[in-house]
Amino acid sequence: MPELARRLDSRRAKLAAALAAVLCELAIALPFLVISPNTLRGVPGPLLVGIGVAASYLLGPWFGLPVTAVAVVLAVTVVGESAWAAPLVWLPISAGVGMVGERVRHGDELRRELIEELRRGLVGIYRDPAVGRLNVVSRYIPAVSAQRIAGDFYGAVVQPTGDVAIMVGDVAGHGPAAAALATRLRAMWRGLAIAGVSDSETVSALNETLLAEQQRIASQIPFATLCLATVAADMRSAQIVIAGHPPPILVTERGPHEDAHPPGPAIGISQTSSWAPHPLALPDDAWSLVVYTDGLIEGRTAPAGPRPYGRDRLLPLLAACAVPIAEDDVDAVLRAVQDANGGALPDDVVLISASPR
Amino acid sequence: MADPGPVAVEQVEGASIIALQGEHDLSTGPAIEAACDDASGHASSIVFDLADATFIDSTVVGVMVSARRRAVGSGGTVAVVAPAGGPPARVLTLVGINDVLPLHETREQALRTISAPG
Repeated sequence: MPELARRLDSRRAKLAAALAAVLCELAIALPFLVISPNTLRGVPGPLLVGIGVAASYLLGPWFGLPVTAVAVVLAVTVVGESAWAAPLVWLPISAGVGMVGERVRHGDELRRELIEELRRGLVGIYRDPAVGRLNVVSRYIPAVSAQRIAGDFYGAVVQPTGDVAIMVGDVAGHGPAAAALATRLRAMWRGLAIAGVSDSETVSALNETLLAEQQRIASQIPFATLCLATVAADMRSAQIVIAGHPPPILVTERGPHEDAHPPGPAIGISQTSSWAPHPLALPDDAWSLVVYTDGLIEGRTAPAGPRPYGRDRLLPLLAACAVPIAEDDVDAVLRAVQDANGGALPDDVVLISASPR
Repeated sequence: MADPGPVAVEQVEGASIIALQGEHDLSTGPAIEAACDDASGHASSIVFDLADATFIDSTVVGVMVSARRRAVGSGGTVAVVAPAGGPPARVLTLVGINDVLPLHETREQALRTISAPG
């Protein structure tokens, strides 16, 4: 029903739908008018008025009321004394239903716009994957339901030194509070990264912010996880900071290699947490740095099979990709994970592959 | 979606034990939260027994972290039973919050830390 109503958004479409409803009512009433008003007494009345009221719901009162009026007039002529023919009852009902329909649609529209706007704030939309000297292929797949919103976010920016800062994060929890907080954390990360603030100071600042937000907001966001990877301008090494997040995977001609450094704690847990960056050497030949959120590895191992999919299954998928990992291969990895799950994944997924240009 | 795993609540001296079986994610989060609310009426400390949980996601970790904040606020604490190498222990270790949600091999160990002051 809401889908149909959305398609009837324009005035012209509404007018056409109202006309179609009237023609439909005429088609129903005509046989009864021609043959005998006494056959099947009472049946077309509810049908005709029902179409009028449904038109009101879908088209709003201004288009729905005339359709209802036609229905009532037809009902009077077809089944004279039937209660279905009482215009004083049906016209106000139709107007009321029309107004309810408009309110529901307005609410749906607002919710859709808010969710879309929040999602736009969570991720960078990169038409051109070039970020400094890196090619950053990114995919963001929102959770199954279009009406649900989670807190995965990411970004990639060039720092004043020419280093490229990449960030993938995940606010624990779902709903508008998680998504709104994620957009704030992302905006803050971006500002600090562009200003050239070090990754460990950035994560500490984000931790402070999240702890302060937890004091302020009643519905608490328990914590958030982050992975920051800053690739040096010379493309020879990267600095990694992990806050409770799946570690990045370096894929080279020799295969995928998961960063094995022990992760730091998630942010939003403790005032005294600190995060030290650790270096990751990058080879001279081709490589791709893969960063993702846990949604990628928490689906099912097979349709109706157990969870989680796990990083042990992800690594062979990455090993099968040509290095550097191109758009098609990133999509192939996502497809393989979704196929194993037996359809769309239950949670948001972010998957990024960064390679030298 | 996920077959909602059962949530069992048990009361012992000085603590409530919330045992999760099977897979737990966003869809069972509210049931676990409800169990935490029930538990807080009985004792201030909670033991989350994840020994029979085959999968937990960050939603469940979040519920446990929030339960711990409330427990600490009322003078209690929270301990987690998650045998090393099991899926819940892997998720909790990755999030890196062992000092907030300490992991234990058995229910008895977890209960001992709760009864021991500090």
